[in-house]
Amino acid sequence: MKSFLASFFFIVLFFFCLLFFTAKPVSHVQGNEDERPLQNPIAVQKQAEAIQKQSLSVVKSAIRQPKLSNVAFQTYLKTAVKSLPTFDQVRDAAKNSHDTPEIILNAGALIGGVADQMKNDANNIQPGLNFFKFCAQNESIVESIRAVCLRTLVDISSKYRNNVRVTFADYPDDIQRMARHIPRLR
Amino acid sequence: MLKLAVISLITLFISACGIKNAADAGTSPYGNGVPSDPLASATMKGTPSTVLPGITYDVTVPNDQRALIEADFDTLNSLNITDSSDAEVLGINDFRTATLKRWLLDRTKYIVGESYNSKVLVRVAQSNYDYGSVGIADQVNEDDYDPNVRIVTLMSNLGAAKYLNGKDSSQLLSMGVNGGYISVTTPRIGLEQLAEGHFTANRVPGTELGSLTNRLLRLAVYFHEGRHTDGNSDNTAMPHKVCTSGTYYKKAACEGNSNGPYAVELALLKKFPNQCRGCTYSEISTINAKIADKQSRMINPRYSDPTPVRNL
Ligand SMILES: [Zn+2]
Repeated sequence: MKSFLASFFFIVLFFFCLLFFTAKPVSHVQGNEDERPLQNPIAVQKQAEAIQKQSLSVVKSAIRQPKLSNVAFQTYLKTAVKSLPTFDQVRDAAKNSHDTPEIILNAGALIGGVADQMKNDANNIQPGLNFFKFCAQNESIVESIRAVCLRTLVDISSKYRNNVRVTFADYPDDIQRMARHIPRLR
Repeated sequence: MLKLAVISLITLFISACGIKNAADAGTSPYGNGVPSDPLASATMKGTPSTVLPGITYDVTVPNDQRALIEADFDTLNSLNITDSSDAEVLGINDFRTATLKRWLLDRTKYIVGESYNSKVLVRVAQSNYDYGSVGIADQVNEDDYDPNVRIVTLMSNLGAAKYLNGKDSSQLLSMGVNGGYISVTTPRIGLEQLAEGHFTANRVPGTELGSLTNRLLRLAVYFHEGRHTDGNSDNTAMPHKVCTSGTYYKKAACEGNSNGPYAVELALLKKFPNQCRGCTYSEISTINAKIADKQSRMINPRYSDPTPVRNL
């Protein structure tokens, strides 16, 4: 009886340990100091894929239809805001980390699409600048995309001689450093 | 008796987990012959590039992919890069078309397709091969082709990966191309493998594969792969570094060499927005997103000797 109880105890202990070590998702650590809250990686990936799909269709339709109506541009901006990739989304999407993940390239196309619409219609200039500013300032967005937004904001705002002077210095060092590596937009 | 039953139960459970893990990892798509690739059916006999004679396509490169690569190479003819800043990253003095073509031709000799079967076409030519007294690269080369993870296959410097494999096992390997065999005595044999993902992953959404922007995005990748034929000693093939922070934390997706593959790709990409004549902001901004992404991978880069392993 004793040996039966001991065996039973070990089985329970074994399954407990197994559950403890396998049910926990891999700890996604960014650097040593930045412990991120654990999230369900499948849910994050599915969410990222859904957003990605939506943004992709918006970019594709915008590219096929160079001049959007003001209403359509507002919809484009709303989708673009939701599609700007976060750190977690890029990390989870980076199945092939050797090359740039598609989520980054698509975001680049979306950002440029805003600039295209600003060129087409003066009414789009201010909403477009607001979008770039939001993107460049938003800490949840991945740094490389914030840098693209900052580069675009600085160059496009000077192009349209907007009253608001935008400089790199208004933004965090790492973002402006990366933005300075991006060629000036003409 | 009961103890025996319990131990058996636990062993059985662990074995089952092991099987499950193996299944999760997936089986090799090349294990049971060449995979059915819709593009692979349209192949022609391997022939030299007409744009860059000196580069030979293997029969495994489908016609449509070959046509796109030829168009990519031809894009070099329309470049007019007058700004020579960052030329030292490639070890050149300028970005003129002739200079860029020479650089690429020195490092790219063969292009094989996605269906290239390494298990059949890579052979041991000589055992106990003497690679000299130089060190062995101890870093994982991210470009090393892994048939179990097909999703990562975009473009890889298969020749460099096989050189490192051979060196690691003191065997001289040889690789089959168009019926003949090439001894992998140096990464400079310049054998690159290219998959369909190379075209889909380097693309502005909603645009034609043959658009100027997409050709430029892909062109930068050929230069990246070319750099993987350089370097020597423990920096052979100029492998990537494991990222210590950022989006690619713990992945071998960063650059420690200021003249390494990512640095070379970056130097080219930075020139391309000005070469993208008639391109929309959407297209330019896609290139810029790639520039920012590559820049984020540079971690305290230092210049390293790019002299390639000599052809023994
Ligand atoms: Zn590489």
